[in-house]
Amino acid sequence: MYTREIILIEDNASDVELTRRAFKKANIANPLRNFDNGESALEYLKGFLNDDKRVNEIPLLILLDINLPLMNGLEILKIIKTSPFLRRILVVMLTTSSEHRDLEAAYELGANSYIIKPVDFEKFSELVAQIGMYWMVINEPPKIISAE
Amino acid sequence: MQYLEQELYDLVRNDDGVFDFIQNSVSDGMWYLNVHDPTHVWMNHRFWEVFGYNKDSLPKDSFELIIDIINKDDYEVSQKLWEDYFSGLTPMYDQIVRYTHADGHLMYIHCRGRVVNYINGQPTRMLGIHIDVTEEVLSKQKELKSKDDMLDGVYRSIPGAVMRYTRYTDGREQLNFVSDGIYNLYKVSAKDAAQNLQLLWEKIDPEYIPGFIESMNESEKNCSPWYYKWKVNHDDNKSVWLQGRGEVVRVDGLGTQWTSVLIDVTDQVNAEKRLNEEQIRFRALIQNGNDVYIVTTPEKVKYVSPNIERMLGYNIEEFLKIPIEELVHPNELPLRWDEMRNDGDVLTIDYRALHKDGSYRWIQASGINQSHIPEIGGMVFSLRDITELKRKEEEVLTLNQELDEKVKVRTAELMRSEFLLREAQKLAKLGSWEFDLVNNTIKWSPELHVIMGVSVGEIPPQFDDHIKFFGQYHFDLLSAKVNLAITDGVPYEIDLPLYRPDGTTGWIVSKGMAVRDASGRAVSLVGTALDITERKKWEEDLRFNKEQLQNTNEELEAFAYSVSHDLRAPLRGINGWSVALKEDYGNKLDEVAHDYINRVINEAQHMNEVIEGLLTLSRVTRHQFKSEIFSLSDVVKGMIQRYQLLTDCSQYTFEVEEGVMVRGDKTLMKVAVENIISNAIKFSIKVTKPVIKFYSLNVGGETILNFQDNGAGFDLEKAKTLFTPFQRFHRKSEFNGTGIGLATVKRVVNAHKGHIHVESAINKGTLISITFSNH
Repeated sequence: MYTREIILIEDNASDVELTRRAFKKANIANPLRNFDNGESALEYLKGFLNDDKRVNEIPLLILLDINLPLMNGLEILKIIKTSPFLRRILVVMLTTSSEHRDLEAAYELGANSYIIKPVDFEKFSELVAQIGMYWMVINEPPKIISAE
Repeated sequence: MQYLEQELYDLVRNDDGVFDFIQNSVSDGMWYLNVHDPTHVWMNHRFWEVFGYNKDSLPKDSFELIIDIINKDDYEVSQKLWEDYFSGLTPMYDQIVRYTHADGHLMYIHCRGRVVNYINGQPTRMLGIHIDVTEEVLSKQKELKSKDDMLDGVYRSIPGAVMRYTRYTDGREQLNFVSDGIYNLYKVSAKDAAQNLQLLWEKIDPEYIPGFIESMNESEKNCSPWYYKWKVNHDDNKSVWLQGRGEVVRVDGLGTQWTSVLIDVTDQVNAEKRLNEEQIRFRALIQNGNDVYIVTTPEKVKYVSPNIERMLGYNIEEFLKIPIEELVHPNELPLRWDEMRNDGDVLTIDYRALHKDGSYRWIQASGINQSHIPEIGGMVFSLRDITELKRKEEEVLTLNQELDEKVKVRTAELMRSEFLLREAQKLAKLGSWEFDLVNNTIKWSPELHVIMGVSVGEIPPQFDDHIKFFGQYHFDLLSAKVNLAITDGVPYEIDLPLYRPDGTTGWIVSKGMAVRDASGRAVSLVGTALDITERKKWEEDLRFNKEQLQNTNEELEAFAYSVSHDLRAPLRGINGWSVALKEDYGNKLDEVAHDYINRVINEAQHMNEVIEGLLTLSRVTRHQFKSEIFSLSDVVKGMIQRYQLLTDCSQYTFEVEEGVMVRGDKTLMKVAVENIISNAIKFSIKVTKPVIKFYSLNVGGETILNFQDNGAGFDLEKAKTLFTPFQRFHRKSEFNGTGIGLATVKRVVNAHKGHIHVESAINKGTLISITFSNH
């Protein structure tokens, strides 16, 4: 079985490395692919859509920051969740924003989870481990239906 | 025979010219006839000329022509007259005969003739002449016609009837003539009356029949004119009065005939009756009323009504004997006769008159000079005793004076109140007005004039003209409200922009309501107008400030948002990489290095707390207040449970009063409680037996919420700045905490319009009391 990618859309390089570290510590084997802006991430995701052979390799999970340059996380979420194809990808908002309105907007647009990044790295690691457990073990991800 | 006469006879006999002159000039035609054969007749030229023919060119035989133009009836009469004449009954044939002239008009010809020749005693010839009497006959006829017309006119114009009545010696009676007017009197037509005289008798009121017959007998006996007045009853229950006068002609042994005129005198009789009644009533009034009437001249009283005895004690005889001056109080003399010198002069005077008992009575005398009426011949006075009236008048006068005094005092008071009201209006910039709906007039108080910019002397404009003060839009709004106030009785209040005549502008708030009369109809509107120009300016400023504040808040929000992201991301890096350093290279570092790394981690964590606090504070500030009733006890317990989950709180004792209900914003109160409880826990950490209490007190309708701990406490001297963000009272190494907590609590309490009070002493603990009004 192919271990599907996890996409991390995050522009803060330090956060990206810390996330990789946390994934490693939590023994999550899925490849983590990082994009520092929404446009290139969406470009990448659309590649699966246009290539029949890769349809089943579509990423499993997107970890999405809100505060991003150009297009912000909520806009990206909206595009993903309104696309008949991309909406099947699980999206976890992973952000420093504890603003209530951001949280509400994210769930409104169809985010599967909303997680506030703690400053404490220990806690962050625990959280990443939990995400891995929850979305990849407990949750049954949507089946990818072949175009045929 | 006179010689001239003899000569004339001879001339006629011997000179045909004379005879011709006679035959042509003295008559309008001459004829000479053979009695044995009347078709043999000679007529002269004049004869035919009169009928419009020429004797020399008659259209036919002369006799036949005569038969043509003679009136047929008259021709027959002429035959009879001829016989009469020839039988000797008449001395002459003499007839007025109608002929038709050649031009068609009717002619009256006086025709006379006699036998002029006899043979053997038998008449053989007749000579006759014609005289044209057409004009005379016609004028006579005209005259007769005019007399008939006149008589008819008389009959018609008299309010009654003319009749001729005959009573025969044997008792029979007959109506020889009656004019049509009889119908108006008896409701019996002239024709019916003439046929049946009884119809008239039946209408006469039975009471008057004997008198009627008597009057006729009297007239008949003395051959004197008849006169009678009687009553006739009609079928419709109405009666008329008739008066009859008649000339009488008596033929002894045959009977008597009256020619009479009957006239309707109902109005006259009724008027007489009324007059009579009036006289009786008048007398009753004069004799029984309270007033006394006298007729007098300056010299002598001619009449006094009997009531004088009741008024002044004298009977009529006594009164008439006393000279007028002696009956009047000396102060009232001399009497003012000269003021009523002339006919028709009137005078009313009050004077005192001497009563028989020696007292004086006040009398009011009203008189008029009627000397010009012979039956009166003096002045007529009515006298009235006004003694009682005078007494009451004096009482009223006294009362009036007292009342005047009171009115003066009250007026002064009222003026003072009005002055105060006016001054108050001036101070308050409050004007009042009244809109009289009946007369469509508007009254303004002086201050309203000032507010509206219309000088006090000017008449306030009509309602419709108020448009120039308020502008079309606001005037329409006002009109709608005014109409509603009139129809539905809804009092109104409206803010109106004001454009004064001098060009300045302002704002007023106009309030009004309808005033109704007893029937519920709105008769006026009353109200006030308050100058709110200043208020409007403040409102405008306030609005501006609010907008500014809004902008500031938005900036603050953006700032807070930025802080939460941009400041915390590096913190997370500092923390994360410090941990990474410890994990990956921990075995290569000595103890001091470890300590430094731990310090870096702690500082980062502390800074995170500072950021959290700031965000909470800004969230409280920006929060939209929502009021509800909820259990604060439950909030406190929930908060404690959270702490118990996060940290080890086993050494703490929590005492929480159950069922404390408050009205407020639950979200904000949670924030406040969280801050208070976390502070209490933090600052009690060094106490051996920390106790944290929550309880409420009710004092004078206010709820006091108390949070008490027995922790470190602080010096109240320094508490002035207690609620300023970032103020801390403990060294950082001693306690965690950011100092933002209490500032946040204070803001929550302020948002609830409550008070916060803090009591604290070092090492004695802290009591935070929050007072909420229950309203």
